[in-house]
Amino acid sequence: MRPSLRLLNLEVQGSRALYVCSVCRQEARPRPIVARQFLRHASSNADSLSERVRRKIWGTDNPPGLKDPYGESLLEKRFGKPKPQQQEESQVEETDELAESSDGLEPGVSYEPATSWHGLERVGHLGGWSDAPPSEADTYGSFGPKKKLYKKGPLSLAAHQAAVEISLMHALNKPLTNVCNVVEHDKSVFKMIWQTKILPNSTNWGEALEYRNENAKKSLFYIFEQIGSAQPETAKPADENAEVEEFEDFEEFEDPSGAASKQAFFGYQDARFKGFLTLPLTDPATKFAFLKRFSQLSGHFFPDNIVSQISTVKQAVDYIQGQLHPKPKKLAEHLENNKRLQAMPNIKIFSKRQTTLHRDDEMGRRKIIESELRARGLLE
Amino acid sequence: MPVQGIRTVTAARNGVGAFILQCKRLDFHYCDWAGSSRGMVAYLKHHLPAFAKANPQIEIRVSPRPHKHPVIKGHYINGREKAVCVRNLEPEQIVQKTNLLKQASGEKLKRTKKPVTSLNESVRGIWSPYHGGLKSV
Amino acid sequence: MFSRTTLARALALPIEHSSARSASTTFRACLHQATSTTTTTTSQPEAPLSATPRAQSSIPIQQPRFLTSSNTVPLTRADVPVTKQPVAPTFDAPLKVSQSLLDLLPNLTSQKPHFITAHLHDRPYLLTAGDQLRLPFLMPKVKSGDILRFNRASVLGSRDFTLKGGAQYLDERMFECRVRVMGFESEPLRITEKTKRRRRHVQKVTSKHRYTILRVMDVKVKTAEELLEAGAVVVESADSDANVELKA
Repeated sequence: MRPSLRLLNLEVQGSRALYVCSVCRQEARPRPIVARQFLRHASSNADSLSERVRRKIWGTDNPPGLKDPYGESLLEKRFGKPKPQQQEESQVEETDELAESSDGLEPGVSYEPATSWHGLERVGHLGGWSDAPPSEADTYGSFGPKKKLYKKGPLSLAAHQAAVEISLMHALNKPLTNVCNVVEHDKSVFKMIWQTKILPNSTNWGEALEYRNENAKKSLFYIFEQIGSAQPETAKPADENAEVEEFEDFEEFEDPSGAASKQAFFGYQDARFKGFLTLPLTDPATKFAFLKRFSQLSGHFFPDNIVSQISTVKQAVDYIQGQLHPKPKKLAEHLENNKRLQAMPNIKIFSKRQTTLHRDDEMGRRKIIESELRARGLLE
Repeated sequence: MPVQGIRTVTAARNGVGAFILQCKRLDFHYCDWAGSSRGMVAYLKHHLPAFAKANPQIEIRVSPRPHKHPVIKGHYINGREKAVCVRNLEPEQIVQKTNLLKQASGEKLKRTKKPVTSLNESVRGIWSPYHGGLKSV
Repeated sequence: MFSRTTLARALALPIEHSSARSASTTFRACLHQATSTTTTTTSQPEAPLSATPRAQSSIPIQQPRFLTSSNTVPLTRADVPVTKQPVAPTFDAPLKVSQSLLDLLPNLTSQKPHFITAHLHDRPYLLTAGDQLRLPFLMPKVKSGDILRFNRASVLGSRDFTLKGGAQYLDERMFECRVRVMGFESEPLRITEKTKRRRRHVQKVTSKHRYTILRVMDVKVKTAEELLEAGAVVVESADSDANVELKA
């Protein structure tokens, strides 16, 4: 369209729509007004076709319902201008209000665009955050132990502990995963757990435990009753001294103290009772709680596909020990274990990559090279 | 009588008397992780013992070469090396490649037109126009 | 270096001409079959050979001199499988040598070194002991280290004397030529570019042939005594097919 024509258009068109692009305007002009309904999106004028149809339907100049049922999106409604305020306002103020609300300003406040950032409200941190002391939320406590367990003894200890704890929670009828709140028990508590026997071939978790005596049962119940309440760290038996005296006959199993306190499981080497291996993990809640506690104690993560495969405690322990899904063996190990190859004198198998250093070594010139390098000060 | 140098009595020619296989060593390199070594790993597991037993005169070295394609390297008594990349090959194909390396002479591949190469002097001597078979015009 | 006439005078022997020779049929029936041109053999010859290097410490088994159809596979070595045993020559008549050949043969045998024009698939190869021979094909069913015996030769000679077979090949009982299979080589990859007219496309044809490498272990002419010991029959010169000639 020629510029002159466009100018003419502007004059002729008037302000039926707030903004319609010139091409659309040009296209739309000669058509009857009914055909212009597709222009509605570009215009938010109250005098649009839908508005007029609505008025006609309701028979009044102020029809009920939304002002513009199609033009406004949900997001705009939620985050944009406050709606009820707008609705209260009368139809007379509408044209004024529309222009202002698009700016997001209170009525009566004139908007003046800023030319520099001086005097503007500051958003975000006020600086110097690195100087502030760490808050409680800043300290990080890991879920599991720092070191993963790999040996058989500690793993079975962990599994035993987890099984006993979950059983106790079953017996107390408390939320099972609360046991994870206590990362490490006190030594005496641990000893009590260690001495607790799990009956083999038991299917019910709540009734699988066989305590050493009534005293131990009471104290364990007392301790685990507290777990999950406000202060998990105070899960210490009140009669600690009595317990220690009572179980003194098992002291010989422990390592001398000092080093033992640093070790996992206070120096205990292996679980005393192996009944936990047969416990079923068919109940999803129990399974989840057990695996959560077990992975917390052992430091191993259980992938989803393995979790779905596991149905007993034994399988969980086996998985961590690499028996369920053993790592692929290196070929060098495989060949070195081959009896037939070992018997042959003309085969050499290396487990590491052979480099030029090895070749020099084999040829007997490595010493010469090194001494020569030393003589020139290139090697200290 | 003019001074004569000491003539070499014999030149070492393998196979005239005793025969030594030209290939003295075979290095097998593989990667534990990579998929291109799959055939090579299978070969080393299942075919290598038989090959080593059949060829006691060849030294065999097996060593990993991580993050690389599998390679068989032959070392020959003339001091040269011949390397064959066996990536993505089946064990049977690797058997063929191993035999190729075993029976190769280690020389650089050359295109020769004459079938016979000789170190010997000519049996009949060099032709002379003054001796023998004189023709009268 | 003797001239032809001098040597003839010195030996006081008539120089025979090639036209005088006649080709008698004392050869095997399967002579012209290409498949039997080479005979894989590791056998020790019947007569003890001083010049033959013995690579294998084999125990020779005494063979019958003339083989019948009943024992066509001779057992030469116990450790060699039957399929690898040499094919026995089926001679039906003893070797016939003329008196003149017998008289001249010592001159040839005493003059070292010898050369031989051995034929393999009807292709001549001029060989001396220690030569390397690259066959223009890949010989099947052989391994490196195997020993072959060439039994086709047209010419055998030393510096001054030549034993010629004439129109026929020399009888294989008159010489020994053993070769060792060294290995297999290949040529570098050859790429031939093929083009057609008005077609903007170059076809690349690759070829990489494989060849068998052989090493000549020995070239030996049997002496007259050995021939006679092996059962050669002395006939008139007209009946013999091979003749020793002076260098011509």
